[in-house]
Amino acid sequence: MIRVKPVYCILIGVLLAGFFFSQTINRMIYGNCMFRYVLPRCDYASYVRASNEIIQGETPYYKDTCYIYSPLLAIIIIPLTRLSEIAGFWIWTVISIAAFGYGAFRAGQS
Amino acid sequence: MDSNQHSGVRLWSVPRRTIIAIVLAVFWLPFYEAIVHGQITPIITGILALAIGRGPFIRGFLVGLTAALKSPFAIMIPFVSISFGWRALLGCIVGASFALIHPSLFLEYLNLLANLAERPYGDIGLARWLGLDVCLPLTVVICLIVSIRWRGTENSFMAIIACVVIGTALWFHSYTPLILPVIYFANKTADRFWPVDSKR
Repeated sequence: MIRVKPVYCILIGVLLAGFFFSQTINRMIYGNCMFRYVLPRCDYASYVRASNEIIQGETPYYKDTCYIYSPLLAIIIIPLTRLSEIAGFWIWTVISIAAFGYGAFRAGQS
Repeated sequence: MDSNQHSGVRLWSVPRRTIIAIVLAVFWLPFYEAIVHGQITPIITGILALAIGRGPFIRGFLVGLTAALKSPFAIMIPFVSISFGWRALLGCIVGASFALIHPSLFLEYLNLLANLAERPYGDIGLARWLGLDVCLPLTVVICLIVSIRWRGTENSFMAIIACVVIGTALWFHSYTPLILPVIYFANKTADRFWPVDSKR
């Protein structure tokens, strides 16, 4: 066990939350921040394009989709294509952060 | 996390393992790049984490599922099978079979993979610098050694993840799943050289 003052934990949490919030807002409003790509060029967008192609009965494997994964991923993404691009990306990001956090937690406990 | 009074100041007692995991995870830069790009690697990390400490079949199933989502992780299948036995192999086959959910598209995907191998891809990583011809055999040999040396243990699973990620990563965000072995071995090292929590 390591003893820490609660105020330090809270401070670090607030700083991290503030950082993510500011970066997210910057990205959504101005389209740039620490992030190099805007949404239409990111990998998530290629997954969505591939999903849309599969929904329409087309192949996702052509140059414009830039999709280089198995069809399973594009099929899993299909529910998110029903949402707007930003909303889908938000959900995808929340799931990604939760998955990574869970991974760090499990690795720390093992 | 439990709290107590120390010298009149209220303190929280946090397990050292938790602190190591949080610090490494917060400063794991590939994760931020993965989030920025909306990459699938954080989810792959979560799926592989689910496999930690599970029985051979479930572990194999989750590794197979990972391979079905992202092909480089298929390299893990033979070595997880060597380490954890035939039940793990069965699980891998069942998990990987999800890639066949749309057979005709899967065949197109295989064609795409064959073409991709001919193109110089990626911006960082051993596979980029050494070339896949050198890096893949090296990864296979090291995976084989660790899967036999640490057969059936968590060490082998983590070492296989580390070898496959380092050996196949072509982009910075590809290193996201490496956080699992990094945290695991950091904790093992800390326990060895700084056995504070050993009485827990």
